[in-house]
Amino acid sequence: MITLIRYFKKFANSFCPVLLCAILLSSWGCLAIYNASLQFPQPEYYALKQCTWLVLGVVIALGLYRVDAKLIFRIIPWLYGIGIISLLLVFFAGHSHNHMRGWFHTGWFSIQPSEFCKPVFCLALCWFCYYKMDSGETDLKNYGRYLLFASPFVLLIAIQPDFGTTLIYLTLTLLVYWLFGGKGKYIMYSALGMIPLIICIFLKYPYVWNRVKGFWNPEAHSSGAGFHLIQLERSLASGGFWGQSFGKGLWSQGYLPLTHNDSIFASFCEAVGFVGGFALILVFAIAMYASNRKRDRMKNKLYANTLFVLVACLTLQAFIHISVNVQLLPPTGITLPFFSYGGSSLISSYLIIGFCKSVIQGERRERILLNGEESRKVEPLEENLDARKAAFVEESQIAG
Amino acid sequence: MIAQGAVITKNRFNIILSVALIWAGFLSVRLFYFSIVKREHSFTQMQSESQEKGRIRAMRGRILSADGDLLAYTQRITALHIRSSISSNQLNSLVEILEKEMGISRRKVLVKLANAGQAGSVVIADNLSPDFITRFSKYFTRNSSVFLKMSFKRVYNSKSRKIGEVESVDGQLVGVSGFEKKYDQQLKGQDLVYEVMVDRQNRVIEKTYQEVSKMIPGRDIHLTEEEWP
Repeated sequence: MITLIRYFKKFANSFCPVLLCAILLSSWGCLAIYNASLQFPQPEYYALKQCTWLVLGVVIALGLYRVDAKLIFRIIPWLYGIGIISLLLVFFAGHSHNHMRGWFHTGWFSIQPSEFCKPVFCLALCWFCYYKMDSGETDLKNYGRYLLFASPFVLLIAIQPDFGTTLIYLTLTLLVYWLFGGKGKYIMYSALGMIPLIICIFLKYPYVWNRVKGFWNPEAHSSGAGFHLIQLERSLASGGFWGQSFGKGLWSQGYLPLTHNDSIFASFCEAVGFVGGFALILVFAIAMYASNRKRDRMKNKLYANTLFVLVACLTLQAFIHISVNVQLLPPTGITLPFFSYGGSSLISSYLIIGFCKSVIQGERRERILLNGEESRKVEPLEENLDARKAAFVEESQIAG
Repeated sequence: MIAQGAVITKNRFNIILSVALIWAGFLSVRLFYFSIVKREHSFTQMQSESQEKGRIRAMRGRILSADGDLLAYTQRITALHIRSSISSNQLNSLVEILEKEMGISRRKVLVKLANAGQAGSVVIADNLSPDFITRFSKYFTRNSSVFLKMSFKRVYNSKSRKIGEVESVDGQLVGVSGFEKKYDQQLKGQDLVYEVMVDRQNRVIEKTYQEVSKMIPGRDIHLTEEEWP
């Protein structure tokens, strides 16, 4: 009996609350996808496919739990290389959709490498800032090297062209630099430097400019770029405070385009109302708050910052998606993590969950290694920093 | 900076967290605005743009002699229409059905469509049998380029001018002479009027059906012996 309880505890421990929350959120998402697909001849098609991805995502996350964070950071250069190669390959062997070459098509399903690269990109940026920034160099030189390191991902995705995902990658690049102590003025210069680039994008891709115009005045472009935004607004209005309940969302079934991916928040809100939509926003805000609290308690700077950046990546994506759905931003095509239909997006979100748990486990292992059981107590971040760093480097050398 | 021994500025994380929380607040306020505050305004616009009124004509009553002989009655006619915008795939499958079931040649259908031009629709077959309609009802509801149109035809068993004549006014039969005119109010009945919402492809959303007025079929008129022995 005791052995059984021990096994159960071990099993429950492997399903940490974060993963449980993610599974609940994804299950909710599957229901939302089914609700959004009710106007199609086979409404269960997308929901069942999403369930398959959900199972695969959970298995991958559980697998990552077992992988030592140290090992992950050791193979980061390899993962970085694989990411770049996959983004390059998509230009030759990829499949175009909506004038965007970003998928590998394999019969039953498609793979979007830019989604899988997201967690790798976050880890790579943190790894570079922690290990490769040279304190002997000037800040500007360091920043230049950092931008050079991040640019292949950003450029390859921008060339596809997938400007929504490029926006996420760019924001993450600047965010990680700043969080690791980078100078704010360089970020300002970079943002200013992007203005001519944005103008060039508007000139080369008129549909992007049309989206901005439609966003600015949806009523004036009601049959074109503003149509989507007007339908988003009406779906939210149709939901009201308590929602129309699942299966009764008339507006999302009759008018709203892309109900199962780009507009899933609005179609979900039509079903569950303001209450459900607010709860979803709250979940992502709490995740951000919890990650910051956890980061405060962690001693290893690399692990702590990586955890925060990974959760920030998910939250950023979610908030951009919701912002589009509540007309705070023009349509970007960014999916809602755990919710929107798409295997690549869902598995990428579970990879992030897996990496988060892996760095938490890594931190715990290191703490036990350094200070024994007593170290389980909370300690301030800066205490014994040098001692821990030395021990960590020494251990890495032994292991390597 | 960023080098290994550098001190992390804890404030920056708190700033990012604050930005995220403020952003979440903005999103919630905006969601509240659309879901609650602007709801009535959106509903008015939604209704004006998507709601359509429909009418189903009531069947005109029969005219019978004092002996109970049927003098005039109404026949329902169902015609099959095709929109000129029909895709080639849809047209091929439809032509196959029409050839097999009704013996209408492919050539006849194509000529009619060619004559119809770009806009509007063309009648391919009229007076469809109830059996045909029942068997292909699902096909007609799923295919937006094909639709059935119902109309009424007045049939007279007597050639006497006393019974009178009807005229079709906006799809409704109206008595213009004889008994048809005299008893028009009783014969015509009351149409069914309904409201539905249509989607962006102009398809009716079934769950939105609402009756505005009920259908009352036209009453039968039994003529007296003085009028028609």
